[in-house]
Parts: sequence; structure tokens; C-alpha cells
Amino acid sequence: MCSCQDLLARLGEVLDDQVTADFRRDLQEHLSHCRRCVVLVNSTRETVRIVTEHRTFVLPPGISSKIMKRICGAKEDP
Amino acid sequence: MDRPQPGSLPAAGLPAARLDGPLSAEVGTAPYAAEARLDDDAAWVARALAGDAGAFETLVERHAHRVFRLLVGLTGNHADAEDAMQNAFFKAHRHLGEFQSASKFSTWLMRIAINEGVECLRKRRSQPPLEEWDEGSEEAFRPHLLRPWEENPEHLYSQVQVREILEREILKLPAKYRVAVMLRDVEQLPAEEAAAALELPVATLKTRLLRGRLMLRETLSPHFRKRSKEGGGV
Repeated sequence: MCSCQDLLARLGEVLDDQVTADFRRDLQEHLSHCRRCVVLVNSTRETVRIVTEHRTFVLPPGISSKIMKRICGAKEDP
Repeated sequence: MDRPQPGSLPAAGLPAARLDGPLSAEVGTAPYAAEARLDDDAAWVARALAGDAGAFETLVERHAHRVFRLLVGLTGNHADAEDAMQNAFFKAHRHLGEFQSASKFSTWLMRIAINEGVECLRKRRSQPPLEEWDEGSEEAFRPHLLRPWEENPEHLYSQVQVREILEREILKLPAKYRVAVMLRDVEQLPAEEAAAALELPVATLKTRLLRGRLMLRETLSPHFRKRSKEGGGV
């Protein structure tokens, strides 16, 4: 039997789809009557999806050239 | 700029002997050895070692985004990440001859970047090093906001707004959880590779990742939950 606490502890496995068949069965049974855990699983899954799909933290423009300029400058500078 | 394709390199330029040769006991753990054999940067590294500046530039372009995100994850801000990134590539170029090919080039580069990021945190002194972050009580990871989210929550906002919300909330995470989220969910590195870069056991990386995801879910909930009361919950 799976409790809310068990689910929270193993949520990483659930999100990464790495649960065993036995635990999946227990989990489904638990989710069929625990609305809070349904929300938890769905919203955490959505969190991962949104973070993954939106390309955040874009590289500052020109950074590669700056790096190469510094490297080439250091080579010429004895 | 034209970027030559690795597949077009002559086989003679590949450092095959180094990749397939015996690995030293200090650095040659099995996972590292396995990943080194699959290193698709090997040809570029060989050319850069032979003095081809263009090859190193290709390595910079291939890894710049990943290194930048790793360093934003560690330092928590763009300016420090940019400085640390420049230092990391500069050092990688200078020490390329010491790269042993016992691990992937990307793993080696990320280790250098992590050292630069940690050094940056140390100089700032306002924040403790990564390992000294307070784990926090279990309460910090317990879900509190449990109202259902909208069907397509990000459609409540423009693309730019979603990106701003995500960046703001990710940057608020404690560094050890933030860097796990950055490597696994933003950069989508496999858990084994992210753990190797951070020199952590995979299980520890996974624990930190789950905690980061839970904290992020909590702070994103007010933005993305259903607006009406019909869904119930807190």
C-alpha cells in the first residue's frame, strides 16, 4: 500500500518513469483516491516540462568571440 | 561562420590510441572509460592540440551554452557566470595538453567550469561554498500549494513572460538544487553525466534534483494554478 509520504519520497522515480510494476500498481491505487497527490504529481510533471521546453538562460551575444579574442591575445602576449 | 563537421575529419587526425588505450587507476573508473570511448569531441580536441585555433573555437561553440547554464546555476547571476565562463575556457585552452581522454572532454570542461564557479562564490563571500548550503528542514520540500494547475499553464502568459518567471524562480533556488535543475532539466544532461560533472553519486544528484523540482513547483504554483476556486486545494 502506498502512502502520500511514500509517493513524495519516490516522486523522482515517478517523474523519470522508472517505477517498478509493483509500485506502479500501488501508486495507481493511491492516486485513485488521493486528490492532493494527483495535483502534486501533475503539477511537478508540468514544472519539469515547462522548464525543459522553454529555453531559458540564453547565451549573451558575442561571448564565443570574446573568449577566442582573449585566448588569441594571450598567445601573442609573451 | 562555417562550422566544419566532425565527420569530415580524416581518420588519421583522431586520437584513437589514447581513447582505446589502458586507463590509469587514478582516473580510469569504468563509467569514465565507457563515456570517453563515445566522446564526439575527440577529433576537435586532437586538432586543437595540433594548434588549430578554429578547432578550439568549435569546441567553445559546442559547449558554450551548457557551460553558461552550469555557471548561472552555480553562481546565481549572469554577470558572474559570464566571467567564470571566460576563465573556464581560457584555462581549458591553456591546459588542453593535460586532458587525459579518460573522461569525455565535456566532463573535463565542466569540472574546470565548476572550479571557476566555486572560486567566484568564494570571492563573493556573501554565499557559502556549494557543500555548505544548509540542507534546510524537510518542511522546505513539503508541498503546500496543492490547487490544480491550468491545462496549458504557460498559455496564461507570453513566451517572454514565461521565460522571465522561470529564470527568476530558478535563480531563487539554493545553489546545490539550482545546479541540479539546470543540468538535468534545463540542459537535459543524463543523470550519470550531470553527477559525474558535479562529482556526486547519482543518488545524491537525484535527491537534489527532486528537491529543486519540488521547490520550483511550489514557487511556480501561484503563477500557473487554476484561477477559479472550482479545483479546490490550497
